[in-house]
Amino acid sequence: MNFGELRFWQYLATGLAVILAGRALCRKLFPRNIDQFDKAALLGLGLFLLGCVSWVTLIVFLAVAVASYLGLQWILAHQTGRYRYLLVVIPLQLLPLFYFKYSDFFVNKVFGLDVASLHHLLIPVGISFYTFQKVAFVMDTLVHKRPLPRFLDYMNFAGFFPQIVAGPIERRDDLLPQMEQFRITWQVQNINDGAGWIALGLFFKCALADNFALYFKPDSTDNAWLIWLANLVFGLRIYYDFAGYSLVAVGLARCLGVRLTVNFASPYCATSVAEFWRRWHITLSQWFRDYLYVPLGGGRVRWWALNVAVVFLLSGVWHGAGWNFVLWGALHGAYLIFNRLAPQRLHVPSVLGWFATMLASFLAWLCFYEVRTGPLLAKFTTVFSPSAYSLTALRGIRAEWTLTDLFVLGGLLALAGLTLLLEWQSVARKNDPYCFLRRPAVLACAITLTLWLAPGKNNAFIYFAF
Amino acid sequence: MLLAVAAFAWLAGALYTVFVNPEIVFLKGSVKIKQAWSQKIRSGHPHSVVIYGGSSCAFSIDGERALKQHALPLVNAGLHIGLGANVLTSWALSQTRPGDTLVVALEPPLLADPFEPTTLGAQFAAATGLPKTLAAPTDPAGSVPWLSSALMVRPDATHLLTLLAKAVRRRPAYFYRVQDITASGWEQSPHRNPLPGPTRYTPALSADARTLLRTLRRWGETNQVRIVCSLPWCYSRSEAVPHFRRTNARLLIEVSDYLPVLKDSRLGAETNIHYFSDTMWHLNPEGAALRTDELAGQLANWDIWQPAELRTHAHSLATDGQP
Repeated sequence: MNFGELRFWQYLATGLAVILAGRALCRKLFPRNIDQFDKAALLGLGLFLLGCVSWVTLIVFLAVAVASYLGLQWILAHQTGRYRYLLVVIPLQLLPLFYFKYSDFFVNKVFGLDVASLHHLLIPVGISFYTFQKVAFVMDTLVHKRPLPRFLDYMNFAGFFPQIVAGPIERRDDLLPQMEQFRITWQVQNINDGAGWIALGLFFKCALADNFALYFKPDSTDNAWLIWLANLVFGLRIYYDFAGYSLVAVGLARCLGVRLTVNFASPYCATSVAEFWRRWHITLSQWFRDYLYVPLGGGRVRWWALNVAVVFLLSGVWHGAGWNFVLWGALHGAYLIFNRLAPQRLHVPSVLGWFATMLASFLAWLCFYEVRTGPLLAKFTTVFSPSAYSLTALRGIRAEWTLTDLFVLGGLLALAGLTLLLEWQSVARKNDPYCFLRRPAVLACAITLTLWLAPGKNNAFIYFAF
Repeated sequence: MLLAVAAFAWLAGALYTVFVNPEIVFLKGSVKIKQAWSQKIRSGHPHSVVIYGGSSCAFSIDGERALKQHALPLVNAGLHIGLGANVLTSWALSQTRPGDTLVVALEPPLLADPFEPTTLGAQFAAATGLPKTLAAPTDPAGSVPWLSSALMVRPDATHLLTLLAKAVRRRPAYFYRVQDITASGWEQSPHRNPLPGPTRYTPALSADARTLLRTLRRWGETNQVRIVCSLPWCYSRSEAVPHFRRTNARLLIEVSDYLPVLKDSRLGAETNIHYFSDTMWHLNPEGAALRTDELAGQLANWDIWQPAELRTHAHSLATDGQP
């Protein structure tokens, strides 16, 4: 379900055409059941699109979704001591995620066993996202004493296709009521609004992220300039890639009359790491806050720093099974602890705060793309060695990059810079991220640039790997 | 409104690509010259030899020399590796007639990867008005992926920004010039660059390449066209030659399951840097003359590798490192 591929849109158009034809027939034959048809059709479309990704993806999704529903039903059947049953249901929900994503890491790398069958397991697309969504669903139902929804509504909540493979990780109270009220209606306002989000998302993904992917050169371990350049390119790529996906998801949902959480809020405009995390992958941050950080005691206990560390270490592991992701989580945890301690003594101007935040964030991206421990440590050593910033090293850029490639990269960075400037203005003036970018004239430019700049070769979304 | 903008932007991009894009303009010019030579050859000879591949072919085979020195009516249908194996093959087949000999001289990397439609291939097909070149080359009823191909007929960031960089640096918009192509379609470049040698080795055919070779063999039998393979020459430093030749020999063993392979003891590796021009695949006039003469000789004598010979050769390269 790659929104950047023509194939996805062809499948979607085919699915919608079948649904509309079926709906016309249903309206004639069973006019009273049209609302049920709409819900069933939405579910069918979601499962069809997931099946187009792969059968394994579809089957694993169905297993997690149905097991979560049945598990919750089982818990709710008990009148007392319901929470203890979570000790059975939640591990059951997490089991497929652990098997596909972490078994190789823990069994083979941490414990040193050599189980060959775990070496090359393919991770079903979206498993980290929908597993967390189902865990949150079970918790919310119990904590807020909500009733068990109807199975069809639940399945639409669990498998709403725009958000299933890469978020946003929607919560029961936000998405389920919309699914319960879902009707296929084509409202011009919704479609216009949705089309704007989709156009912006595709601009982020195809014109920016996919081009940055072509100019990402991560090989150098001894030239600090080249490492920083790779960090910069990767940081911009991953943002435009993931934010692009999220914006298309918001747009697709909006076209169907459903409102999803905007998962990003211009994170590269943040002036502190704490603010960065309020703007980056918002629904995942909220998930960790509500289901881990707060239950551990949150920020009002003496061991708050430990809570932060635990949350970010687990957030790192959520992104991938590897020491590099653990290190990434540890770095961000350390940043946040420092961030919380620092303001008592320091009053940092916002420009300096922004610069320090970007420096810290882009440094941490190193752990995201360098999965090999040896080169990762070598790169960190280089980055912290003053001698690696020599003029000779600076001239070394020319050995890796032709003048033309540097010119092209410069052009792309300028375009990304302009986009970030508009994001910053949207936040600074209206406190509404992306509002300037969604103005008709800007969207027209974005569409034109997408069609003139997108490379012929499409890249999968980075977060599909998570 | 947004859809109208998208349609207009695509149309503007497509018009630019078909009529202005310097690379496409060069390829159209090259095709025109090659077609004119093909017609000229056919007017005087009942059958001809058509050789095709990427630019390694375009730069290495001199049709005029083949005709004058060896009385061999030869059409150089080599174009550009970026067009992809399907488009290159389709276009070459369109230049082939019953009784001809078709020499497949595709660069080995083309035979290693899955055959996906390339952007340049789609643009070439649109610009030359030959959309069927995007379909499976030997299937006359083959379907063309219209929508995805149409969406490729547009510029991209690398192209536009590189063009801008060239304009800023007062460089020509495209490296090669139509005026450097001779009447027989043999291309040359006055540029000389440092050559690193092969950066990629191709030890095995992709599934798509196997299908292509299999269907080519059938197509040849049906259309009375004799088909043979010839490995293009690539510059290789002496120390890299054994490994390069060994992998090429293994590749040719696989190729010989489908088509005969012309016997060239170089096995694709040439160590004399003075035979090359701007890339390790592009021969200069001296190298092209030698390659053309040797090819003419191999065709005249129908000098073909036997699979057992290739196996022995590959084995000897594996054991003592020398051919």
